[in-house]
Amino acid sequence: MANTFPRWTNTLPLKLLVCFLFMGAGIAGGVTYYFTQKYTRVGYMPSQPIAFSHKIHAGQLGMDCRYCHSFVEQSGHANVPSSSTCWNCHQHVKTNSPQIALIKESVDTGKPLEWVKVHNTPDYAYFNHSVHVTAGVSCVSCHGKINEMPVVFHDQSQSMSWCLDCHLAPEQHLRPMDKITNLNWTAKSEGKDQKEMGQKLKDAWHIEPPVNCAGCHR
Amino acid sequence: MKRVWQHPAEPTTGKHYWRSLGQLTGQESSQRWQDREFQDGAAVMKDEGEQETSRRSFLKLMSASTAMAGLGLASCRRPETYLKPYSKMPEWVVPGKILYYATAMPRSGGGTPMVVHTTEGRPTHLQGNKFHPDSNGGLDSQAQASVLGLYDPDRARAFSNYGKPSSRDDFFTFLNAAKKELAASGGKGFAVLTDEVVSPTRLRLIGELQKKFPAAKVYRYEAFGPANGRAAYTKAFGAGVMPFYRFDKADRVFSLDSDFLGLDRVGGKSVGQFMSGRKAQTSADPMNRLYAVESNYTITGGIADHRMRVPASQTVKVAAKLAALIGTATGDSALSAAAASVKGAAYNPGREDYDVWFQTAADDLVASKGKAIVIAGSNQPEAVQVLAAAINHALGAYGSTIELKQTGLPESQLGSLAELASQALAGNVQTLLVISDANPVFDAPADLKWPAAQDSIKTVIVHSTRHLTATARKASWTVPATHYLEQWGDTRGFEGTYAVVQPMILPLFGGVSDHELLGAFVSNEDTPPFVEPSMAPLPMGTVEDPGPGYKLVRDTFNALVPGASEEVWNNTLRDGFVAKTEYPAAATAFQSGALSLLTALPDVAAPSLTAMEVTFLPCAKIADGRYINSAWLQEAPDPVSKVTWDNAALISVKTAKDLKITLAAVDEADVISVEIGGVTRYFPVLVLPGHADNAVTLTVGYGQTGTGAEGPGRVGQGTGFDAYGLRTTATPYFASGAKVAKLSGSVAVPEGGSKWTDHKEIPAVYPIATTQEHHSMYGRALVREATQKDWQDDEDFVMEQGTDAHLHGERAEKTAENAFSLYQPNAGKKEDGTRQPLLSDDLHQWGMVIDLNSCTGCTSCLVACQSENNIPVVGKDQVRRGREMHWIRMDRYFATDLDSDAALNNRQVEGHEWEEDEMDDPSMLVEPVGCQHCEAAPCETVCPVNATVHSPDGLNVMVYNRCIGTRYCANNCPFKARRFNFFDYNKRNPLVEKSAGPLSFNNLYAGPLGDRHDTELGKLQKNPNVTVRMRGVIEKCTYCLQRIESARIDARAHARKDKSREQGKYDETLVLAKQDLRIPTNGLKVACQEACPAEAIHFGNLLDKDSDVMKAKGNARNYELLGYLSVRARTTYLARIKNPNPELIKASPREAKKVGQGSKTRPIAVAGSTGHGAASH
Repeated sequence: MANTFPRWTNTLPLKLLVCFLFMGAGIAGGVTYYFTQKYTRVGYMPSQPIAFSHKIHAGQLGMDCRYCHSFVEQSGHANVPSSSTCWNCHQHVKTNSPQIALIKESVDTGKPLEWVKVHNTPDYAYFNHSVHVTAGVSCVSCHGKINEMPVVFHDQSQSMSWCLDCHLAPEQHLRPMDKITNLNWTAKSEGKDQKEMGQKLKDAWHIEPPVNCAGCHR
Repeated sequence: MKRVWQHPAEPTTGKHYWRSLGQLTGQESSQRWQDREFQDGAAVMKDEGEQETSRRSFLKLMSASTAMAGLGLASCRRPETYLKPYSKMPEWVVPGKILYYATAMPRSGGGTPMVVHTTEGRPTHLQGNKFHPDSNGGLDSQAQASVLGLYDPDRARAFSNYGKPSSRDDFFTFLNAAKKELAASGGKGFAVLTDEVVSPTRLRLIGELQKKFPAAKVYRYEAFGPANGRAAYTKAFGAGVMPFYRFDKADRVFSLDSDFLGLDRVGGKSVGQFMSGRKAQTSADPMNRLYAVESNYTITGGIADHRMRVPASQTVKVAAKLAALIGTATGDSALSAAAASVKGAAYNPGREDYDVWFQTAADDLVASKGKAIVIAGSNQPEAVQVLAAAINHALGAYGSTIELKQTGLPESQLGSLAELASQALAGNVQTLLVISDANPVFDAPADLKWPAAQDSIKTVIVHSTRHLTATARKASWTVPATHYLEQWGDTRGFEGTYAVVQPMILPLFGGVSDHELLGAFVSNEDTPPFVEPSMAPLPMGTVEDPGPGYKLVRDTFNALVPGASEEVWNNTLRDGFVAKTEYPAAATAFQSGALSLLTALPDVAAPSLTAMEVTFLPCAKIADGRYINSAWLQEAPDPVSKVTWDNAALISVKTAKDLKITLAAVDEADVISVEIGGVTRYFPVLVLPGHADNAVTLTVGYGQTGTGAEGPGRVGQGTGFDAYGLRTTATPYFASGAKVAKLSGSVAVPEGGSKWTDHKEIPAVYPIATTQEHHSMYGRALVREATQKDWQDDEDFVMEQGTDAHLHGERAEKTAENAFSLYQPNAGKKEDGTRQPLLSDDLHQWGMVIDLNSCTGCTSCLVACQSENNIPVVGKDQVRRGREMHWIRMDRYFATDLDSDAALNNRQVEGHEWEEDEMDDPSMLVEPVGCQHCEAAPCETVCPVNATVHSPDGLNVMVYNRCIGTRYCANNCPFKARRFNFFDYNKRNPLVEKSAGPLSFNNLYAGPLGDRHDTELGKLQKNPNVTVRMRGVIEKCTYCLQRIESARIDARAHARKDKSREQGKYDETLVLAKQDLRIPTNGLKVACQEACPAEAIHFGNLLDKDSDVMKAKGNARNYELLGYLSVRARTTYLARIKNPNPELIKASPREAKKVGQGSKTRPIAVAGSTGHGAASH
């Protein structure tokens, strides 16, 4: 009597096993990559050409964010300061540091410093800084406590659903306009309830964040 | 519930509108374009028979690539990107914001003042400078496309010496030596050839050059220029006097073969001024009236209220007829006598109403004495120019509707190309400096034998911004010129207002400006060796050396504005011009002695089939050939013939029938041979209704030889057919006695017959890309028109035309009843208010109105849109498949009257034998169509992935990220306004042909193996605020969403920030009114609106009753396309109003038929109609 199963079926379980192993590994890999914070780059902390510390400048020295990111209230881009902005102070301060030498070189030659981009919005999304910081949204809401970061890292996920969380309930993040760049300020510190205060600001200033596609995609 | 529209039958009386002869005569090919927006073969390679195979191979490739993608997971990590801030912040630059600079484009006749949009130092978009007295803010398509020319990789970019690469230092070493030699001989044998560009600094330097080299001669040449008019006006009014027309003051305009609304630029804002007389808010508003006599159908003829087709050579006879009638009526005996001296008074262009037509027109002009203009085309000979001037004189136009100004340009000191050629051939020229974008080796009249003349000159220096032209290829030295956006310079507007040209960017290829080159010749010092401009910032307190060009312009400016402070100069740079510097008025009277030249005119016989007439015209796309390498212009359809990427000979229906040419050919054009004086050229031919009989119009500039940067550039190579070879000094604009024949079979390529050289033989039919049948929306009265009288008789006429007639009277009710949409105005609203209802924005609701009464169809909006919105170019092959990507398409309709007694039931009007005269004498209407932003948009309901949705402010938005390319939306769009990216046009170069073995196919079909765009340069032009779309997504007009969002953000940010700082309140005590967040009235212009020279496009906020757009929507002429669909389109149109002469309509049945009652259609009973356009289930 001929065999019911042809000979090649002998190795079928093994083949299937190998196949499932690969699939399982693929799925596990995919999940760890795409479904975790890694995908949204939270915690991404590249090393920069100059070990610039926001902790010292914005935290200890208390410099306002807008000294360096000067166009944040006017433009969509919050500009990275030009080398000459650094030079305003550092031609006098810490002049013999090798790090400062890089700035001097840039100022002298006109060659730009190459800062590694931490927050990267996709090309098809048009985020605008000016409309946020003039509507009572603080830097801290999206960038975290930069004033405590010696090296800047990606603090919030900045995915589309994260954007929409706030656009649907902006009162969670609104604050008085003179507290925008005060990253340590919280509603609690003034004994207020964030939600209650946020709602008042939202009504007074007509904060109606767009939740339609055209708000961000053009 | 499935709803199927039973479209109401179209009324079959009244006017019939058609886009092509194919549609008129019911050709199968036209039907195919009407039935299918996307033609067969969407996903196949050239052979449609391979469809199955290619689908299978596609699947194979897909599975393979999926597997590969799995292996390459590692590459999913986002690459590290860098932020490179300026080392020192340039003045005024705010990263992410557009910075506007005023400058001007130097052009022949007069510069075009403009405002340049720059983003981080890159010029990306141009708009007119409305503050300049010679501009109303509009910008024509050629000026608009010049920004692409800046980034043209094939434009002049290197010095060369006898074809060998050279360097700037070598050239200036040569120049320093040469000018010493020349100075020693006083400039003997030195000649300079310039173009028609008006630049005070250039004129000053040429004057200095003539002083330094007294024996040097200066010549001026451009293939097409105002030479005839200039010569005539010199005779009639004195040297340097030119007329400037005030169309806004004219009630009657008569054009003698002048395309003054199109290619015959006679003023910086003449289109706007003319159209200001046709805005007609109410039926009682006065309108101007335009009579046009022309050979070719131009956009001016399309606007005309009465048009007569007359061959160009016979225009002088009809001008004399008009002059005689006006001479008699005004008692101007000199004019009558002069008119009588023109031979050929018996001429009749084949119109039975010829006499009465001219009699009534002349009466009309005389009745409007002092408010009339007669304008002669720049292609018409001196005789017609002088006649027009004399008629204007008799009509009292000078001082009222025409201003004479003394341009003071040194006409008499400049020689012509003919003189230069004879001097050169006589061996009197040793050194020639060509500072010009003209290309005489290619475009000079054939009988001048310019190539031989140029060869006989020892040293020829060619300075040009263009690609390596035929002239440059024969030169001893070529000097790359800077583009006007990268140089200091100056120019004068049409009427003389001084404008400064300032650089937007350092020269991309290190060119030299014309001023710098002339300055080097004039200077007594040697030009120092070139030093690479340093990027390093300068020490504090020092100013960067702006280069020699700056100093030259500044010297001119200081002489023009004596004692000007630095502040005055800076203000001039900000404004872009110096006020009150226009040419002074000329205090001269018409000298009737000028008319004496008429007596010597020969009587040119009217053209016949055996001795046809050929008219040479500059191209609406590439001008005289100088823009041949501009992909935007090549792909922008010709306003009338709708040809892209080529030129074609144009002939009338009757002539086509006589020559046995296929009437309705659209994709495959017959080829004709045109022979004049022993020279033969071959052209594909298109039949243009309304063209003069027995005449051929040829547009020049095409068919330039060479490939790539060694020829007309990679865009221009192999496009079109050369007509310059047929042109002589005696026949610069039109030639008589041409033999024209259709090719019955292919013939061998003649010697020197450029362009066809890449064919082994000339085929009898040539594939041509015209867009006239693409995106056809059937008929249904898309364009509506009436005469002014009809409008007065029936204020609501616009609602009684076409299928809307069925809705009339109960329109509002019908609209509400028929509205069907997934998105009802309040859909999506939740009780707790967590979701926004649709159209919920109570500050802004956007809308647009396009005034068909002002629109000429010039396509400047189309190119402006392309520039603003990063619209790719797709190439000729793709255009032939109907895949052009322009968001605005410019529909052109011809209209003929249908006899009411002809019982016709079909849209195609089958069985109706069209008479030649009906086909040959249609009126023309144009209509720009883009996305209509319907409130109940049919596209939105069919998208399976919600990729097209509505925004609260009433925009139909397209989300590229979601789009999966089903094209359902495009199929459901009744306006055919959506475009699909069949290929990655932005990444892959569509202009390259690839071959593999015996197969040859377009680069696009090579998929990932295809070539990318040759350079990154094109990317520099892209607008950073608009997504660059990729393969497989739909795109369409967004109402310039990026501009709306930017204006909205600015309004909000300013209101909140400024109010809070003003009041010192930072928390909830700062109470804003909602209105504070609104964009100011008319505070935003979209790209097409900004570019329109006729101000035909209105855009704005529908919730703001003071806005332009609301005023336009209140006009009784306002109607919606396909209104019976009740899609509530946000873009509406104002119907075209014609203002025909009632006397002429009474007297001429033909004119009555063309413009009279025929344009008004009444609803007729439709058999078996189940209600008016009701839905069935």
